[in-house]
Amino acid sequence: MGKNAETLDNKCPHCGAKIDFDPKSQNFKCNYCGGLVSVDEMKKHETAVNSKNNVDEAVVDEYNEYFSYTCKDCGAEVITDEETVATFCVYCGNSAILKNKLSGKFRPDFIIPFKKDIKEATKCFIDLGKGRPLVPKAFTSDKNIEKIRGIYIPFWLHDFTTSGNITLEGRKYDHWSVGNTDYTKTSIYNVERGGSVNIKYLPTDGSTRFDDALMNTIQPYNYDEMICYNHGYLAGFLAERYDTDIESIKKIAEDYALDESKNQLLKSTSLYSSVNIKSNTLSVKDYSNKYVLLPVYMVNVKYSGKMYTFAMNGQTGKFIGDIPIDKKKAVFYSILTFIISFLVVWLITYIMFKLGGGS
Amino acid sequence: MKKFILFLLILIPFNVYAVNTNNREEMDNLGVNKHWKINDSNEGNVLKTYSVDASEKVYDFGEILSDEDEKVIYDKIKNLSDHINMDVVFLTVNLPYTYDKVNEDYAADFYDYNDFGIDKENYSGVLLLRNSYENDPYFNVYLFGNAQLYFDFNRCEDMLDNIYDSFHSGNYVNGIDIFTDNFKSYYDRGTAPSMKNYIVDKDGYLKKIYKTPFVLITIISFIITLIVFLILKSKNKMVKSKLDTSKYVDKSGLNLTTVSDVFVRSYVTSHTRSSSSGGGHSSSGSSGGGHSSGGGRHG
Repeated sequence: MGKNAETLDNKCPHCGAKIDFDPKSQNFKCNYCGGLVSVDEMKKHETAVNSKNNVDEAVVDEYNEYFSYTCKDCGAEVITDEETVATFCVYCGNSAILKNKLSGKFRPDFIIPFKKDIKEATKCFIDLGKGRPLVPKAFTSDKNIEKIRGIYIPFWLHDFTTSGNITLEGRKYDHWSVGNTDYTKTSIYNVERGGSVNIKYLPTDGSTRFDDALMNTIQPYNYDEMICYNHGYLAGFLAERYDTDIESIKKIAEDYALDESKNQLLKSTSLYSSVNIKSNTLSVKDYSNKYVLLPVYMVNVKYSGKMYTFAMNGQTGKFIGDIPIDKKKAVFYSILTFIISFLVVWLITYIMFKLGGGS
Repeated sequence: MKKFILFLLILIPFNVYAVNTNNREEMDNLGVNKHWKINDSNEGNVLKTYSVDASEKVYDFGEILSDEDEKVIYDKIKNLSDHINMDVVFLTVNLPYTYDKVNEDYAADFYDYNDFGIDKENYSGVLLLRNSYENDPYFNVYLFGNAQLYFDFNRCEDMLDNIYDSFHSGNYVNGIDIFTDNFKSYYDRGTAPSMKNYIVDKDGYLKKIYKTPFVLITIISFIITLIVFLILKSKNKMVKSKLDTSKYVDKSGLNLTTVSDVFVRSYVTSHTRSSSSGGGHSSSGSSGGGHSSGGGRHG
């Protein structure tokens, strides 16, 4: 049937109540006594508690269809899927981190903790409507805002050193006129550029459950704020583990890196009006990667029978997604624009006529 | 002033007596029945302009037409005048001149200071001038009042080209035949395309009027609306499929080790711009009235 997962304890060291990570204070905050606990304090407490409450190892079912865990608050049996590593009890709302799923090769190297809390995420989502007249009114309703959830999404960060040469034909154009005749002088050059390019922290989404385009657009994160992974940061949030093949991901990242390296070399040929690449020997000389969890707020909004997914960078607050268009507003603004532009163009033609000596 | 007028009268060729003329000094307002104001600046021009019977239509001061030709030409011109509901005049002179403008001023004053077009709207009419000056024969057509709207520069040029051979060879009956046929045809086609946005004022001047270019404005407004809509739509589309990889180039960035730029060859290409030519010619005579003309022909 399934397997039992071991959960990490997220209890306040002072009162034993549920405790979650607070993005605003960058500490753990007790929901009951209000006490703030630092990350280091929490680490020590977790180690002590987990050594005492060492539960049974997970039981693996031969069919391996799902995972289940027992909520330590209400005792309910909670079922989750294979990739989920942090979740909530559907009965009492207590957060749970499935420790077994984050061990071994699935243990992240680094994590960027949430810096924006749910209030800021909500505000950013509402602000999506500002400056966008075609956003449907119901789109940023309270009904939708309640669905915003913070989730740690697995990413691979790739470091590349590429080197090689590109050769190209460069053209410069000089224009001048004599009388009614325009002249163009075209000068052709054989151009060669070579060197090496260091690319650092190039991210690729490690989960197939999230749209790659969406995950690309919420970038970049400030990777200088990346810290060593600790289970404690997952408290209060959902989390996923990677399910992609690192070799195929590496190939995608390598294509990105080589393309960017070529662009870097081409920047030094900007004095040419046009270039045509003849050969390219750029290749990867050095490679390494890191497995990280990145903070993302996500919300799914249903509009006109279609689901729209939005994501916010939990570190910078950048909210993105393709917003549907309110058809009534689109028609209204189009007619309004047409009328205004018609009147303005009409006025311009009349003024031009008057300035031209018309009567 | 009187000495000057006397001097002018001495210069009048003998042949003028072939046309019935009147003495302007004995006439009310110097024989000018139109609304032009006679003042010191144009009085001399009025007095030196023959006063003729406007119903004759053919004035052969140049004595180049036989009596029979005059009659045939009169019939053709009268027929054209009835067709286009404007006055039509054929004037021949033997006038020494250096510049074409002398012919034009002569023709304009002759039309303005006589009763041509007097019963037509805006004194509308057409005057075809033949100057048989032996050193440089010349002919041209002059348009007054509403005639300027129907017979623009291009149409006049066409007509002048068509009658050139006949006038050059002295076959004026045939030339007038072509002239009347051409002008009937132009009139039947309506206002000339280049004159669609013009009207003629009471002084005979062409005035450009504003006509709302609805089709053009609609097209421009539609394009603006489309652009605005696409901008607003693009604001709702934030997801980009491709990662912006330029943000991940390390601070050390590019270490450029090879830079080579070798000149191979160059070449020059040229393109000649086409230039457009000007349109018709419009001016005023000494009366202050406006008129237009063709380009004129020498020969």
